[in-house]
Amino acid sequence: MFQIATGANGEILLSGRLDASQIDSARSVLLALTESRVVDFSKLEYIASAGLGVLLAAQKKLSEKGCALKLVNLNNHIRDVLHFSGFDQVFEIE
Amino acid sequence: MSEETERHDERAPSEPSLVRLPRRIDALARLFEFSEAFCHADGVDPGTRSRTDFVLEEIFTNFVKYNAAGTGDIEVALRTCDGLVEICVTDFDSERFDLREHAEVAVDAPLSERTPGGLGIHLVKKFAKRIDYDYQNRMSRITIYLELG
Repeated sequence: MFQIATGANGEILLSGRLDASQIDSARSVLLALTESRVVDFSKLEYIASAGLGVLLAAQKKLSEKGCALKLVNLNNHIRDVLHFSGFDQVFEIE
Repeated sequence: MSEETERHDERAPSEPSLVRLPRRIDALARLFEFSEAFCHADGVDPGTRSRTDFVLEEIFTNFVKYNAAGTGDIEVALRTCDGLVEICVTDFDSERFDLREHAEVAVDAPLSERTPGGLGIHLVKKFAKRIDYDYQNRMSRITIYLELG
């Protein structure tokens, strides 16, 4: 089960497992963003390439306005996935 | 090498766990249930379990998306052997698709030039210790070996 929500400080909170069958809700929130946001991965267990595609599309859209996503609190598996994808070169990751 | 890893290496190969799933994205939930049961039974560490799920999803969804016209279920088999997880995914009605021949992805390109296409296969190749491929009589079988943590 994947969930996406907005936290008290405007951060985007991801939780559960972001696989290809759960991608629509992530897309609808992330692609609607119009300003820079922190995306908190602390409760996200798993991400597949479908999820990477949504993150990349959102970052490209925001970059056209001089904005960006910042990704925080990644577990080791997700950190590896993003590193091997070269996302650490196009996202700020903490 | 840790004591836990040594124990994995000394174990005899496990009996393969096998499931056949319909050619649909919504079968992913059953695929992950199958993987979880296998990893629990075989004592697969959490890091390798995440990579196993990742590889399974990417190969399974590749068959679903790019061979939607194929008939019949897709077969998935898992086992541990010699310190490795063996992941075998078979489509019995498919064109040839050897992911080892897949073009490299430019993961160092600037953001404006990035596209998500091919990232899943790129990551599967990064995670794999070894990849085997067999194609005959429209049967396409991909076998991927991951090192246990």
